[in-house]
Amino acid sequence: MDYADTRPSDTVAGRADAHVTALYQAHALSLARLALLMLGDQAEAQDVVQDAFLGLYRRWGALASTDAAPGYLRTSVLNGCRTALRRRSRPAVPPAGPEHLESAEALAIQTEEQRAVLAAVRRLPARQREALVLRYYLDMTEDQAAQAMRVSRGTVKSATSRAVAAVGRMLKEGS
Amino acid sequence: MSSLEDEIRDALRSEAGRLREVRPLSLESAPRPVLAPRRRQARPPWTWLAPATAAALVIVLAIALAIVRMEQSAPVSPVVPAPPVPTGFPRYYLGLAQLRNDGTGTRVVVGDVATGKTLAAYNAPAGEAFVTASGAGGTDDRTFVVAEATAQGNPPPHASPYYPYPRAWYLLRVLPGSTPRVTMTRLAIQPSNPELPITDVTLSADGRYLAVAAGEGLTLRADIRVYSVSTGQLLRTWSMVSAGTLIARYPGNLSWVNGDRTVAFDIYLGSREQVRTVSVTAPGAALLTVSHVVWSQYVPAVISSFPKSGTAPWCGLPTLTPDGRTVLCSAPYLYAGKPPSAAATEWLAYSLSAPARPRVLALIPPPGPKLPKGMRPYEWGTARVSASGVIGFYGFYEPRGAASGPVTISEYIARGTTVRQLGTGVIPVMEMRVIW
Repeated sequence: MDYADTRPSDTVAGRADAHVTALYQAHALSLARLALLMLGDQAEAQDVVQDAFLGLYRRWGALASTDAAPGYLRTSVLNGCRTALRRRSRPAVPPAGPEHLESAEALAIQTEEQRAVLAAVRRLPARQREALVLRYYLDMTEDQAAQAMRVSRGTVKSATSRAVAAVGRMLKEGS
Repeated sequence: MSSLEDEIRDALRSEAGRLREVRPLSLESAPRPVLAPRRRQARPPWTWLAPATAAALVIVLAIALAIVRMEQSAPVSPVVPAPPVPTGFPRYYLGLAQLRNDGTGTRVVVGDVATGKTLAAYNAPAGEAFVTASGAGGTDDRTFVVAEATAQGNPPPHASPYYPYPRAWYLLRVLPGSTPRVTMTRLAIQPSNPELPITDVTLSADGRYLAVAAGEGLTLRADIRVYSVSTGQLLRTWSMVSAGTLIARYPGNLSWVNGDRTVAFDIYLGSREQVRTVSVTAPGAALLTVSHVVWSQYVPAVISSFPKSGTAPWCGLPTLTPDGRTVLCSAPYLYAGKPPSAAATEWLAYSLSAPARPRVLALIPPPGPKLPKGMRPYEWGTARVSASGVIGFYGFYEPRGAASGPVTISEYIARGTTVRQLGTGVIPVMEMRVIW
């Protein structure tokens, strides 16, 4: 028995709203997770992703091919995160307080060690954090990460290496 | 790859997995798409006739469709927001139902916990059955894998056919807000040959890997395999052959521990049930040699009566939590309320640092004080336990005989003392498994 892939039909090709909606269903969650790792704030991450999709929608007619859309969206989200980080006057560490307490479910899912690693990652400079997220969350090669960050491969390599060393240092200081 | 890099990778994936859904995208108020400016070039005037004619036809067609739509459209019913899902409940579940008493005819149902509605249902074709399924668990409540098998041999009349060997695997995804709301796509996992009957499957929390347990009584063989969901490639196999030890139950009740690095399973060896872990990256292929016992319990041959309170002699479906520190399980107990019932279950946690005394997380009562008219008492069947709850089902058996008569199956999901009904249907069903 073969089940048909029930993704939206391609009979609506050319209609930006249908294409963008389908892309949103397929990619929005993973992009929001990427933005969450960059920004450390769920609401801000969702804002960045929404802006990226609305930007794609506005420029749909200028897109060379629909195959280019996922790459365009990822670049938009990374750009949006960089802009959001530049706008911040303070580091992306969530302030302590009852409104930022983790839910019981989240606490059950994350171990003590994972929470310590995340706290350290959030204290990294934006470029180092971006390098870590691209290399270790998206499993990009150094070349792919360099392309996404618009820097050289050597810069990715050194940023990643410094980031890992800094996280290790912070974990030691915290233990 | 250093262990620190592994820790960073695990922490990032765990953090990303906390985000479960995104806000709907509204394009209504967004500026309309802008067409890209095109290069001007001189064209003979007649070349505009074709696109102009096409444009005119499109406009005429659009106007005609709009008129037809205006005439045919019914008043739009107001959107009723779904009732909120209590904290810790998964939003979606998958059910495996057997539709006929002879064991043939199975259906996969994907449902919405908040509304109780069925989002999609797929019937297996004649001669085939959906045999096992798993949800991603963790924070992902909208990704499931289901296996489909072909009937083997010629069973005698009234006996259930035997569906031991999955020949196809499917990935089901719930896509809220889309049409259709559920997609079902075939995975590239190929059946290996010779195959062992599948005893359990589990999808890793990030949906990337599928662990499959299998065992067979005649040859006393069993194994656990790990597949890549995206490529279907068989990544690891650990095998065992029983050497005289009575194996009452083959490896099953799988779970992923430490992200996608370790697989936990339970196995009955003699009169003891063990929970073991095996590292995906560790060398070796002998299941009982490379795996480690993290918890065990004595399994009585016969449970003569249900305990009156939370002192169960044995706990079912022991599952290691994702952090590898606690075994969660559930056990029946005799509910002393009105009416008294053996359909209650207690939800227990055994900390591996102090495994002698379990912590009672909750005593889950029967779903309601009144029995349906003419029905025998409830029976609770636990389908899955996790850090956030217990999911299972209650059956209401008619007094004419549960073996052949119709059975009402109600699926319930429970967290703590809160029991929530998912749906009820009178179907001649012998089995219903609910999975998240």
